[in-house]
Amino acid sequence: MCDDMDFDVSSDVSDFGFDSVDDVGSDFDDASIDYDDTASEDFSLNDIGDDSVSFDDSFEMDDVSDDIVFEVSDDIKTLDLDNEFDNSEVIETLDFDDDIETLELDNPTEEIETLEYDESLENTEALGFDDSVEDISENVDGFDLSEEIEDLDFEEDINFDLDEVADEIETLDFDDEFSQESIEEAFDETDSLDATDFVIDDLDPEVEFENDAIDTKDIDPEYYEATPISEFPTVQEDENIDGLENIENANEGVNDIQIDSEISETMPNEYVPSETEMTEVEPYQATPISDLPIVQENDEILEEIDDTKRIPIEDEFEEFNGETFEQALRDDAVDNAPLTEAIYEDDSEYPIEDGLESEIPHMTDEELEQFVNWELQHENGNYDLINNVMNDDSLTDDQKEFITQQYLDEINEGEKEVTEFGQRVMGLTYDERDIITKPEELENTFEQTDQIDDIFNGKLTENDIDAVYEGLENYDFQGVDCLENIERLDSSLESFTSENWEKLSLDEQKEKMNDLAEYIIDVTGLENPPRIEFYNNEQEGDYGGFDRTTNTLSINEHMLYQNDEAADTVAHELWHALQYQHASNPRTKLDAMYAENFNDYISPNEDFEGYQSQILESEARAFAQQIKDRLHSY
Amino acid sequence: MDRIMTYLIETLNQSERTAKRNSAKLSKYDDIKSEFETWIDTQEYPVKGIEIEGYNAAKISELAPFMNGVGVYNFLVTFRDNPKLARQTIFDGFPRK
Repeated sequence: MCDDMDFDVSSDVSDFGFDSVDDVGSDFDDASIDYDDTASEDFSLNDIGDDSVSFDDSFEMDDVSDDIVFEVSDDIKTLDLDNEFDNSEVIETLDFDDDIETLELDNPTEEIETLEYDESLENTEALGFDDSVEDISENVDGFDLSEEIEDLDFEEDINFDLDEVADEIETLDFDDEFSQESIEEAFDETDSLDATDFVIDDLDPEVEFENDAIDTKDIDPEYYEATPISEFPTVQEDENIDGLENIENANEGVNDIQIDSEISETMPNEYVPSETEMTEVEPYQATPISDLPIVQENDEILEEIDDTKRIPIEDEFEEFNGETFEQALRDDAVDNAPLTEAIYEDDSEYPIEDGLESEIPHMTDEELEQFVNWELQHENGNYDLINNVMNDDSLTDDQKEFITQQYLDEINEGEKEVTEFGQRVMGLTYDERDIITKPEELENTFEQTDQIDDIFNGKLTENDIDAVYEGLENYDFQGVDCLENIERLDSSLESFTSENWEKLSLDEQKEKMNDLAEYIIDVTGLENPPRIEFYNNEQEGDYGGFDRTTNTLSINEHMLYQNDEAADTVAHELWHALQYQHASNPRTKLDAMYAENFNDYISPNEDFEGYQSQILESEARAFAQQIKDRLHSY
Repeated sequence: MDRIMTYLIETLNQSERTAKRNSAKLSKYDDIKSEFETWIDTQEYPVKGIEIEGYNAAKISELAPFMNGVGVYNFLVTFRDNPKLARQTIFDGFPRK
C-alpha cells in the first residue's frame, strides 16, 4: 500500500532515468504527478495502453514549464520503469536535491496489485536523493521495493506526489537494478539526475495530462532553433539556469557559431580529376570531321591531298552544297580560323589555358540550318568527335568516358528532335550551343498598288490578326481555279484511284505525284516551283511539309498507301508554296495575313487545334480538298 | 510573369504573342492549368490525370507522340471545348501536312 509518493528533484536534473524493472506491488490510493519547474529537456509519452504505464528508457520533456500535472486515473495496471529498483525494506522517502520541485500523482487509486522489488522493502516511506548523483542508472543497482512506499521525495525542487492514483495499478516495474547502497550513496549527489530518458509507455487512454502551463507559456520561437552543437547541452546542465529566459539568454550566440565552410564542400561529379591529372590534361582540340584539322591547320598538307584519296563524303558534300569540298575547307580555314584552336569546353572540370578559348563564329540561321542538315544527313557529327576522343592517347579512360558521354547524350537528345524551323534543336554543335532554327521573318514590304486592293493600307487590324489564327469562312484561292484544265487534271488523277494506285510501285507512285505537281504548279502560276523530295517516317499522320527556306516540298513515302491523301498532300504543300510567294511580296491584305502567319506559325506540336485553324493551313486544306473531291468523284 | 508564360518564353522560346495565346488557352480551366504547371516541373504526365471523354494527358501523348506538353494540354482544352473536333482529329490520326 502506498498512499502518497513525493519526489523532490532539483531543477538542474536533466536526465532522470529508470532503466530497470522490478515489480512493485502495493496499493496506491493517489497517483498523480505534478512535475514542476524542471529543467528536463525531453519528456515523451509513448504507447498509451489500456492497463499499463511503462517507463522504458527515457523520460523526455520538452519545453520546461513551471507546472506540469499528470493525472493518472483508473485502470493503470502496469507502470514500468526500465531500471530495476532492487532493495530492501523500508524506504519512506526518495529525495532529490535541488530544483525539481514537484512530481505528483493525483487521483487516488485503490489498489496497486504489484509493486515488486527484487528484495522486499516494507514500509518504505521515503527515499531521499541528496546531492551529486550524476547518473542514477549507473549508481543505483539492485533496488527492490515491495508493498508499501508511501513517500518518494526528491528533495527540494521536484516532488512526486501520489495523491490520486488510478483505481488499479497492477504492476509498477523498474527494469534495472537498484541497490540500496547505491541509492544511499547517490542521495548525496543529484546534480545530474536526469529525466531526459524517462518514457511512459502503455498509458491508459483515460489518463489525462494536464500541462496548461506549457500551453500558455509564451516561448520565443528562436528557442526552438535546432542547435545540434555541443555548446547547447551545457546550458541545460547549468544549475544556475532556472527558467526559459535564462536559457535563452545563455544560448545567445550559439547560432553565431561559424562552421568551417570547407567541411561542407561537395563535388557534384563522381569523377573528379586530381590536381595532378588536371595539370596534365592538354586542351583537346575539336576535330569535328576526321580530315578537317589537317586541312585547317596546315595548308601545305591540304595541297598534298590527292584526288585519289577523295572519300565519298566529299562527293556528297559537293553535290549538296554545289562547291568542292576542298574549296569549302579552304573557305572555312580562312573564315573560321579560330576553329583550329577550338577546345572541349568544360569549365567546371578542366582548366583552359589562357588564350586558347575559341571564338565560335556566329552563324546566321540559314547557315546554321545548312550545318544542321548536313550533320543530320551524314549522321556522323558527334560520332566523329567521339571517335577522335577515343583514339586520343593523351586522354585517360576516365577522361574519354567523361567527354564522350556528353556527345552520346547529345545524340540521344538529338534523335528525339525533329528538325523543324522555329524549333530548338538540342546541342548538335561542337560548342554545345542549342540551335534554334528560325527562318528570317518576312518583312512588311507591302506596296499598295492600284491594281488590286485600294482599301488595305498595309497594316493588319486586330480583327485581321484574329482571322489569321481562326481562318476564314470562305476562300477564293487567290483566283486560282484548280479545275481550269479538267482533262489534264483527270488524266493525272486517274492514277490516284485506289485500284490504279495499288498497282503502282513506289517509284511509279512518286512519278505520278510529280505529274500532279506539275499540273498544280501550272494552274497556280508558281514562279519558283519547289523541289520535291521524299523521305520515310513511319509515324502515322506525318504526310509531309513545305520548307520555305529551302523551297523544298517534302513528302513522306510511308503515307503513300493512302491514295487520296497522296494527291491531297501534293496539292496542299504546293499551296503553301504559293502562299509563301504571295507573303514574300504582299500586295493584298490576304498576302499580309500570310506573312503574319508565316512569322508566327502555330506548330502542331504545341496546339493542334490552333495549327489546323490558322489561315495557312485551313486555306491549303480547303484547296487540296478540291483535288480530293475530284478524285472521289470518279 | 506567371509560370506558364515564363516556361513558354524562356524554355520554348516562343514569341510573346504565341506565348500569350498558348497561356490563355492553357489557363482556361483551372484543373488543366494546375496539371500543366505540375507537368512543367515533372515533365511527366500523371497516370490518373484529368480525364475528358475517356482521354487524359498521358493517353493523348501516347496517341500523338510528336506533341510536347503544351500540345497535349492544349488538346485537353480542345477536348473540353469541342469534343467532336477532338475525336475527329484522333480518328484522322492527327494529320500533319
